[in-house]
Amino acid sequence: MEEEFGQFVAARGRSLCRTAYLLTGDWQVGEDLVQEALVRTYLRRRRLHSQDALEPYARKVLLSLFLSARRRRWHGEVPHAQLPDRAARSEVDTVIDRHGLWPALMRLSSQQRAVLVLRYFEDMTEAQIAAVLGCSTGAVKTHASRGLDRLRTTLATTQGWQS
Amino acid sequence: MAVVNDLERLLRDEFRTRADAAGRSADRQPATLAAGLEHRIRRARRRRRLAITGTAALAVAAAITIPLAVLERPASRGLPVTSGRHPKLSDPSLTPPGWTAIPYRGAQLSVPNSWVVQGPQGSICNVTTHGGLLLGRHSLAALRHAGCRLPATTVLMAPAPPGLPRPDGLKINGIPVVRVSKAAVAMPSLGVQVTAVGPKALQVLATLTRSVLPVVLAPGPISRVPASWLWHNIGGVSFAIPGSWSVRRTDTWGNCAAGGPPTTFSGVLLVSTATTGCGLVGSEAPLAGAWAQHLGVSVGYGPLANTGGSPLRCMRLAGLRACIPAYADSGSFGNPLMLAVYPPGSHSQPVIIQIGLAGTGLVARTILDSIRPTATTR
Repeated sequence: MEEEFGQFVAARGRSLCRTAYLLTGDWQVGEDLVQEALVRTYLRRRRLHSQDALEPYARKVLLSLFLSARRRRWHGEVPHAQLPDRAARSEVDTVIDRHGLWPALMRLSSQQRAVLVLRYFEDMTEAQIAAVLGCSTGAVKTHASRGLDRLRTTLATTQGWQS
Repeated sequence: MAVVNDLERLLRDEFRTRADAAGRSADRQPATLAAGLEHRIRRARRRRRLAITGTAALAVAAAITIPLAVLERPASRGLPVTSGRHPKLSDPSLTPPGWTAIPYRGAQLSVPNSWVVQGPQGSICNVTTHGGLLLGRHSLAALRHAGCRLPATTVLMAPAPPGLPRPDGLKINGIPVVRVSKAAVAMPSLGVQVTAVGPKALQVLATLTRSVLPVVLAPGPISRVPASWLWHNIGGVSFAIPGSWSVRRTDTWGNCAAGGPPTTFSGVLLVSTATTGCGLVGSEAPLAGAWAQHLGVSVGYGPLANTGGSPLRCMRLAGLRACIPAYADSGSFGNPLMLAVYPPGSHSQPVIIQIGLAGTGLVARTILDSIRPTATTR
């Protein structure tokens, strides 16, 4: 691996892993997606116009891999009538899951979760999100709106929130 | 609305704290991402190499102009073969469309056609192009100190300095490199150092491969001429070229349009029985695209075909004395390999054979290896 690309990985790889973790809910799964995205970015690096184009391209590939992987049947979400009891899978979950938000996020569709992560973690605009996901800004707004509605409904059920 | 805003704020908070916590846990094993990545890149490259081998006909046709018939037949029916280990080849597929391969000593880099390319006596200061390649100069700092305004991307190729450490595993396209400074790498096996700065620096560096001339001239086994190739006899000298090449004739010697030395044309044997000459003045063609090499042969046999008075160094080809310009090894970018071949007989005039330095070098090497006196042609 060329040193310059290695420097890019060292500088931005962790940031991509954090995004991937928020998308998948699992650090190892997310890291696997990031590695695959970085491999594809590395193989395409000569066609990218500059070093600055590496990260946006890698992020786009990451989202594409996430969305296509989630469409496989064995990744299909199983609906629950009510939130399951939260098992303490890791110290991370135990420490920060104060509002029950994380399980609710994991139950969103992949598109809805991707839009919310890009909007509220990456602080992207609707146009930027549309460019990364390869869809229209209208679709981005729809996914965001539906995702927030589902979260609000779920949280209202478990936390007594007013809608 | 307030509820939604609260939810948005909570989302941001949730994402940030959760990602931070997960990242802190992962930081206990910081090398996992990079180590796994190296392995996956190697695997992807292996898969790609297998795919390229499987579709070699298409890749070669897209990248270079050598007739497919020569390179795609099995060895027993047409491929040049060597008995024993042949030299490592150049890789023309690393040159993107719209770019030109520029050789310097043992190395070759590709740059966009629109870039300025200059030799050691030339200058890329204050040019209007987006990039420039300067051969034979080491130091960007020295250029800037002299008041030179360099293009956005500047690349220098120069002889590798002595006393370099051994490469420690870093490679570009399979060639071991040594990091010399923040912007410079050296390829000890090719005798070249490259300094590159600017937005396209990495892309240019990624085109690094062996230049064709060392492949053609490297010592080693003689290439066997494939059965599909055709032999030509000129002035007591015979040589072979791929059977699918066309033959054209001319009675001038030199690139009369540009006032430069004769050029070669892809897939063409150009035979000159010159009675007039254009001279061998180097043409002013500093843009990279003008220096593109074409894999063909131009032969001069006539009173005006000559080597232009260049100092020569000579070798033996199947008993014939064959001489090349002394500057050939140091790199005369843009020029084909020029040979002056002396047929038997003390008063014989040389036959000038020019071989375009393009492709992997294997076809050009086989053409060179095929040169022999006419009487001993197979």
